[in-house]
Amino acid sequence: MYDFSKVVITSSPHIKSKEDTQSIMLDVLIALIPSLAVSTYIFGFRAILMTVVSVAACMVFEAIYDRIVGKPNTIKDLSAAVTGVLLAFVCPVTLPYWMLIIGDGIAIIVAKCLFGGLGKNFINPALAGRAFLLASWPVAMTTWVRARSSVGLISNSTEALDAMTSATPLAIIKGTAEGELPSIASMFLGSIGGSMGEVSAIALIIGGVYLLVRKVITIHIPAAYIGTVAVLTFLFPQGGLGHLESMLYSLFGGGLMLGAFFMATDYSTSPVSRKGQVVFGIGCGLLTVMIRYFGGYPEGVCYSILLMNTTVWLIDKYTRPTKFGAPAKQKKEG
Amino acid sequence: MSFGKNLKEGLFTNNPVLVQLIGMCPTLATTTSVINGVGMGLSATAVLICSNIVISLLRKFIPNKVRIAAYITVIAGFVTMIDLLLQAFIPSLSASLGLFIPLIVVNCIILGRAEAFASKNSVGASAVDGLVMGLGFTFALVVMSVVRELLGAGTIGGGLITVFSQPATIMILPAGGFLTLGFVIAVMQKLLKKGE
Amino acid sequence: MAGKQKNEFVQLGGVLCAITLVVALCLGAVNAITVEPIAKQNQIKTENALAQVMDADSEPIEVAEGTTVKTDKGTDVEIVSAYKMTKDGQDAGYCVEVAPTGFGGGVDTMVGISADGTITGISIISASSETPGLGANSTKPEFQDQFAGQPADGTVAVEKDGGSIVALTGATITSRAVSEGVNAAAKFAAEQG
Repeated sequence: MYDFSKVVITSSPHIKSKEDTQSIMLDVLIALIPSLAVSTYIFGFRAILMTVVSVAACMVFEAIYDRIVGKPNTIKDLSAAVTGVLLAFVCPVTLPYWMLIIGDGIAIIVAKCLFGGLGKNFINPALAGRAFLLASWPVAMTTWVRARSSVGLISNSTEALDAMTSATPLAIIKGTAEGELPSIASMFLGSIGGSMGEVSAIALIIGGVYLLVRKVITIHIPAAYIGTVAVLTFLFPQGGLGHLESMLYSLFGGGLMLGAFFMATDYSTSPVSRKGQVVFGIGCGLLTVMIRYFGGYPEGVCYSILLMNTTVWLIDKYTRPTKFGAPAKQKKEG
Repeated sequence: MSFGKNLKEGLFTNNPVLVQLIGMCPTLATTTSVINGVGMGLSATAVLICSNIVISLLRKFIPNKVRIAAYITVIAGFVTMIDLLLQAFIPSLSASLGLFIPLIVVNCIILGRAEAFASKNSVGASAVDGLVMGLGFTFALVVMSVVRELLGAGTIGGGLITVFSQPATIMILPAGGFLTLGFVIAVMQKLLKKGE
Repeated sequence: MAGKQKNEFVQLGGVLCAITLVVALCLGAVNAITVEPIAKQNQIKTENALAQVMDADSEPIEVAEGTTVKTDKGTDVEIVSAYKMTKDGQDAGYCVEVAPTGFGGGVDTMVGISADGTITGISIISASSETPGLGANSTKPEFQDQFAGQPADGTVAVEKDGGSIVALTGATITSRAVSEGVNAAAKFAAEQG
């Protein structure tokens, strides 16, 4: 008889990898560093402090929740830290800290932990937090300061803020705000008003490429998402712009790059199969352009990803890959 | 059953909103301020008591086959009366509750109690049932609206006292209603479990 | 068999009929009691709005339901009701109730226009379809008071559009709607002579 006692028996899959949640999340954090650097250059040290506060708040909320429900502490997997950074990045740099912390609480406790924690949430926690903040304090969430204006580290008076505000390029194109459109180059580099981590397209693209190289994400969702927005805004320019101009402003304006590379690609809230991911990306792109063109807000990345998050189960259902070796589907005979 | 036991059932262990999960529409829609919550709760309680009494009185007279139609007619009659009386004598409440008063007609709690209780029990018991279930509904609305008003408008007591100046507006929007309801039900379940 | 079924129908119908009859009688009685107070309440509401925008006596002008006025900017604004105002026997102008389309629906606004062509004031009767915390703030006096003294020549506009009305924070659409409503009311008053 063989002695099986020393044989390790596990169920499939049997592929070993050093990758775990922590290393993946660490990669995401690294990929976000260029954007944080640009943001700090443009908005000052408050950008760093906002990010640190947000990360700390997210980790504390997760630890508290784990404690209350008696689960093992999960903050070491760094997923809460990623949520914290992302939420800080989609808020204006002038947002009061306490509002940011409430947003962190909603993101971590309501959108993530109550649904069972990492991997079981059905919507992106950071975006859920942002949606909550936007509906709660629309004024604070849409007060954008000009690039390179001196933002107070701790608090800002309303008068000081009023003097520094500037409209976002997308709002100007849409016609809901007055102002001069910045050059495409400055939009690409990031010296414009906007959410902390969204202003610099180049920094986000660098981060996105890093994630692609490290195989943390695949190209399908970002390509389908950005491609759809590019095609639509090229074909149907808005605000009296030329075809190419309209496309470039739409690609580099708002949170498209951040959304496409870092938010829409979240594992637990995007489809599993490649085909499904393409469908998901196209859906996000369509909704983004629809909201930007016809909606009440000049920006639609947040809501379009949240809406598509809720359709993931459906996309997964219809794009299920055929099992290896399974007989080909036979057409029903009439 | 004693009245106290009845009351406990209506308010807590068998609360129509927080345990039976019926009457969600007015619960979510009208709890934006305490005044609205109390107004809706008491209006529905009045309708519930009246309809329970009348339906219990008529329970042997109404044929089984047309009972739902008969119940709805009675309920709709009472609701319309309340609606007219509110418009005439408490116009401010009528203005803020607007559409939701006529909607009491289709409030599941009222038809539910008519079908499940009043059609099978004596007039006295039905009146008590209407009262306790109505109070349970009111209780749930008050809890919901206190939370939502405080967080969403920063005020207590229907705008009487302002607590803070930058409230989270989402809490008085529909999304905040769902969030609050979820948390209130969770707390209720926890408390009920503890009480067992 | 058929006879028995027929009997049942008659019985069911009879019972339902009796119930509806009684309910209808009760409703009639309640209606008789409340019809007067309700009419009075509605009148008080209109009178309050009128008193807020102009200190004069009002006399309603007939406005056909669904009447709209096109402003110079091309917006169609619904005219809800209109009143000819007199003070001490003198022509004092008009009050016009308009419902310009805001963010979520009509913003019911009473506008006072004096005989010499200035806006005497506005009163937003209902902005319940606007966003709470943003457009719904239009009922606050800080916003409404700006309109008093504006010219009634169709040029009232928010600052962004070249006018002098300071828009509500985060609610440009509602502010624009109210401005257009005021312009429509002015135009309607001008058409009355």
